[in-house]
Amino acid sequence: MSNAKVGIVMGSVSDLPKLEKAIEVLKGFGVGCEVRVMSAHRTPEDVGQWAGSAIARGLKVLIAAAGGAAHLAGAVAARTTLPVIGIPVATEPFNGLDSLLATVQMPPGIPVATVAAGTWGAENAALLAVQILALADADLAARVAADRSKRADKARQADRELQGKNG
Amino acid sequence: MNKKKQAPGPPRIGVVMGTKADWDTMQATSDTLKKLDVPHECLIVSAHRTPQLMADYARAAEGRGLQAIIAGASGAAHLPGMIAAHTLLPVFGVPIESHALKGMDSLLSIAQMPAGVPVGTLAIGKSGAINAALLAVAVLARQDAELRERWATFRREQDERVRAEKVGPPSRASTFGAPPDAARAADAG
Repeated sequence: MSNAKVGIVMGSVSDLPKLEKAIEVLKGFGVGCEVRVMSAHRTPEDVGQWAGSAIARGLKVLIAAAGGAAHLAGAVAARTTLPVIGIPVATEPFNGLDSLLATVQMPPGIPVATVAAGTWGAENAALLAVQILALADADLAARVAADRSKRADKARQADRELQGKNG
Repeated sequence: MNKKKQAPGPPRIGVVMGTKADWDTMQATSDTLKKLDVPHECLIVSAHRTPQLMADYARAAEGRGLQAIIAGASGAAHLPGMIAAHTLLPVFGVPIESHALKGMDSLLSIAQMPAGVPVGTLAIGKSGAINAALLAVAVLARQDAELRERWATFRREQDERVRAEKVGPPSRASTFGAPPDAARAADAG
């Protein structure tokens, strides 16, 4: 069994550049992840097997990214009781609104936690997964707190620079 | 799931909403958590009208033993995101259906959070309210074997309930997916 705690699946390998940030965030927190390309429409059996065996393989949170008729996160959630986070990948011609609605509007009974359409979403999906894992991991929780204050510092720094320019 | 209910412990989930009218929707969150025996608290906290209360609540949440916060809001639905800004607990947002834009405004306000502060967004309205509770259950179930069992049972019963639903006239009823005995009996009859 690998030490992966988070499983990331994307509908198409063309989604990968938009998910790099998620993978990078998980790596930064030292959270092991497995990354797969599986399509809800082209390889439905593979998706079912992957999601259905996720608990047995030691995964704790699943992240699914897809664009357009973005059924992947819902298809994954249908096959597992693990928390599933959906990333709506922004695609042509609707710029991700289609992906967002397809990912978020799940029927009652099968939840998917949806993050923003766009690259923010990928980063936040990883952070949400980390926050969920941190509920049972005090060291990880401390690293999440450190990450937040780093982001606060960066925002304050940007403001200071702006004041400097205008001063 | 029919076993005798134990006295509820301290709340593990905070269910907050921006206005009293949101309770029509958020009651479904509370009912679902009740069904799965998860102690929770419900209160009205407005990001715009009671900003200090909101910040205080979010900042105190972890220390008070909460493990996730579910926030429902409508329109310029800033509550889930603002709660998330003040806590490191997982935050789940429920977009309440608004009059003017049918909840699309609520959905986009909740979902499109900037990088760094995540909110897990659910569907607009009651479906989302129910699923926010189930998502919190999925999160808590990791450290709670009994809850894990109740969650698995919930899903199994949901599956069975859908399988038992029938459409069309009886003469057109399909035996596909029925338990083997029932299928045989139907074929024989």
